[in-house]
Amino acid sequence: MTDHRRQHALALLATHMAETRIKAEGATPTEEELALLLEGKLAATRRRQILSHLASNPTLYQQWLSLTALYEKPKTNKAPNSLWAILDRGLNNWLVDWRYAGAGLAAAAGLILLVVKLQPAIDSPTNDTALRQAPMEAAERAAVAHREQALRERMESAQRSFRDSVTTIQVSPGEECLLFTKAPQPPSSRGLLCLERIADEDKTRWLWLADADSRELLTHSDGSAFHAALSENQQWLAYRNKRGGDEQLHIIATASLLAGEAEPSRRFATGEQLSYLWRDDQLIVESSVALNEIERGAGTQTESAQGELMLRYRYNPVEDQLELQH
Amino acid sequence: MSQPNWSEIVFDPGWLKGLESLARRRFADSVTAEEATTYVLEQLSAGDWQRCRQYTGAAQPTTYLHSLAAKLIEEFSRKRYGRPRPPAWLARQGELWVTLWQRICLERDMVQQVVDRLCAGGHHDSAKLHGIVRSIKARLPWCGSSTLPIPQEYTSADGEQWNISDSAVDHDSLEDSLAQEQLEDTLATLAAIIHGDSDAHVSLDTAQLKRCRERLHIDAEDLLMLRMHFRDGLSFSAIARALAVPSHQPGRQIKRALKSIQHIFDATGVSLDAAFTTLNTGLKIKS
Repeated sequence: MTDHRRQHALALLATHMAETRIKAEGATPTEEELALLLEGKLAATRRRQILSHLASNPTLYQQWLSLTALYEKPKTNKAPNSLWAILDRGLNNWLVDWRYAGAGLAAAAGLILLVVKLQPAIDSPTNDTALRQAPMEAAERAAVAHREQALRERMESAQRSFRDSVTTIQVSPGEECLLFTKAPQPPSSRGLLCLERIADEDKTRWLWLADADSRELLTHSDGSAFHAALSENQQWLAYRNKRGGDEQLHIIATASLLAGEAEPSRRFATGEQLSYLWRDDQLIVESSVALNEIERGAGTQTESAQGELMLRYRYNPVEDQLELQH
Repeated sequence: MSQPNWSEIVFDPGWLKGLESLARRRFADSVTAEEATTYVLEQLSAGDWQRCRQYTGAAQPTTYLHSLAAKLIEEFSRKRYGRPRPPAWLARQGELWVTLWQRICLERDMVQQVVDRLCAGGHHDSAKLHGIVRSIKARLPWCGSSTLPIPQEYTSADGEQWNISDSAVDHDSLEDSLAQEQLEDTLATLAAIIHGDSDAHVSLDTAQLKRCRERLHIDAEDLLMLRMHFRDGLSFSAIARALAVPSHQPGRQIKRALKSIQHIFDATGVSLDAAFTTLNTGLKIKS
């Protein structure tokens, strides 16, 4: 056994044996006292007492550990002003303002709406915009401001690392844009693919927004909650929605989607909520029940061969292969 | 004392970024993380920043707010998932098992995402974590399944807090407190650490382990440093910053603690090398 491994084993075994015997001393620490611990401003006795609480209370320990990790994060630089920054600000307002867009605005006017809605940079959540002039409760204002800020920062982050990253920007449940940096459709290889719920209708639609281009791609006749994610090579898109009582997962080649082809290459359904993520351009899906494969175009369901409680699948879109993982 | 302008601090982009980090660290699912963030903002600002008014001015306002936010995120988790009360057999396996149980079984995060997060620091092995998850799911069929409800005995809606010491049997007699099952759990932990097999146990002299445990006294700060470094993967400098001690102190303190622990192990006849050899040559798998 190497020295490092021995030390590791010794430490974990000793903490395992010792931590069941440790007792908390003194009063439960307040939030300010945890802050003071981080700042090194506690008296020795009280510090010792607080450490005993951290050592014996797992929830408090995790809460405190999260706080300390926060102060390890490096500061990020602000992105320069650019077309993308302008697009971001306009998109920011457009996506957040969709409630106020009015039923008369057509989907093809997405870019027009974007241009019309362009605003100077929002420096702080308290700046006036059309959205904030509407009467709202303080908490709702705070939530909206937070979403705007989150969207802007995510766009800036995506812009900085556009060569390598794939970014999903979730404005709120039901409104998402995906940043393309290697889109297969010229003339622009960069753009935003947005999945948007059409106001007051039970429909969702895909919109493509690029430097000088904006077009509606597809409209779905179901507007229930959805989520989308791009593979790392940006050649495949997975998106999820609800139809009837079932969660459906669709996988489509992005080239097909950008060409306006409606049919996804694969569809799965489950009666339960499922989760998925892309890893090495293969889709990892977790479902508590068997995935049912929906035959292309037929709209029928076939029972999975296994018919047992499933945990995790791996789907390879290139080879169109679905495997159960153990 | 006059209160700071909480609105100005909270809506500062830098502070909001920190809040997002807190939520994303806590919840693997981005939607849940965002909901937690919104909850924190609502709670902080409610009643004209009522929850902030316990501030006495001793700490920096931003640090205090982050500390309050970390607590509110846990509050959000309790309201959403209940207060976790792990089964005794699982709690005895230690905090890593409890963390995995909470994230995957109660909060129903994706296993791979949870494992990836825990392995990010390089101090956990992915295969070992997956093995632990399999062990948990084998004994708790409802774990991770959204079709089966979480049994009520594993969450507490009231104010009762589970502590690590709750998992130990509370008896006056030390002999009574070292129940055979608890010793077997210690041995299983040893096996898992050394061999990476959480289902294995070895036949070691349990009397030796009893004596060792009796003599082992680690103070809270040493225990925290050992846990932060060896279990949670923090560097010495990160530990120093977290505990506000000089940067050279964690390394020295951990080294001293390990030396003391080794001395107690040697004095009571518990040998990791012997255990390792035994494990390699005569491993028994629990049926």
